[in-house]
Amino acid sequence: MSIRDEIKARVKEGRLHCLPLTVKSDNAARHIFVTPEIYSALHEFEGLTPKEIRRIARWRADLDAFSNGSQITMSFEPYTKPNSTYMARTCPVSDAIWDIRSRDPKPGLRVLGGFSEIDVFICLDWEYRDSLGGPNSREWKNFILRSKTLWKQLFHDYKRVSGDDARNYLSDKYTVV
Amino acid sequence: MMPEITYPTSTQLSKPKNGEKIPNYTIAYLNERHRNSVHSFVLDCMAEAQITQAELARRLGKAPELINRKIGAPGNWTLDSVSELLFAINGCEPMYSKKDFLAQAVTNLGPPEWMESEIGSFSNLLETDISVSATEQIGHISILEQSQNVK
Repeated sequence: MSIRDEIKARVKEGRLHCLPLTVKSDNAARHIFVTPEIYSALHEFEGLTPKEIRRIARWRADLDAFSNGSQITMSFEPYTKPNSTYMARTCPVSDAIWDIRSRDPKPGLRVLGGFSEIDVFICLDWEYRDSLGGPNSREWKNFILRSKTLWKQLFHDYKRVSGDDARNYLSDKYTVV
Repeated sequence: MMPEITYPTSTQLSKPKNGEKIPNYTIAYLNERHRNSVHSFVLDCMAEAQITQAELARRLGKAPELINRKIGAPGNWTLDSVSELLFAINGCEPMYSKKDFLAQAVTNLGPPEWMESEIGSFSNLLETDISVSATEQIGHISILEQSQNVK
């Protein structure tokens, strides 16, 4: 079985969802799969304040920017990336866990995941930035560890795309910063 | 008395309706989408013009780190920022038109083509398409590039 077969199986089992584009006339240049927890966070609003609902809407638009092939910035450096970077590798870089950063407006949101192949990103877990502390905090380490564990539960020994060549991750419309 | 909160029942975008307030979710989504579109467009222009951020900073008379911060991510850019960025990149200005994006045909919904055999399983993810008259002209503004004709 290939990792594509694994993804198909997880989708059938309901353990992954392909996040469809909100605007159906957009072209899906890249693809995002999300865990049920992230899918729920993006679609279930009961109990949220209007401000939180608006924040989720903006987060969804940021994820759609990945899928609809908008220009995005990416950094391979966990600690020296520009603040405005769209997505960045986390530490340790050998783990190949990436962080999609929805920074504006506050509160910021973070989604951790990995690339299963070029232009296909699996979103594993999410947190509000406020709950994560500094870059080397226990909260960040636990967040990264949870994501790695989720990947293993979903895909067993299939590896995430790794390495320092951006062309292995994205085919087009990106800037390495 | 606290205003009643109306929770979105769908993340689907739909056309504005007479007498009804546009859902906050829709407004917020469109705002962010627009920021992303403008940012992506500016980056596309920079790539096409093969201009560096350093050169852009020089042309605008701004500190490189300011341009880096600006260009690095979408933001609530002013109209002035957009026009000066575009002109500094390649002597162009934005051109406005509207796009009835909700009425346009579905291209592909998101799954990669290798998921096509599984497309049935997506039915629970797909929200009901809204039929929109092709003659409706309501849409959102997109920014296109228009070259300055040098005379």
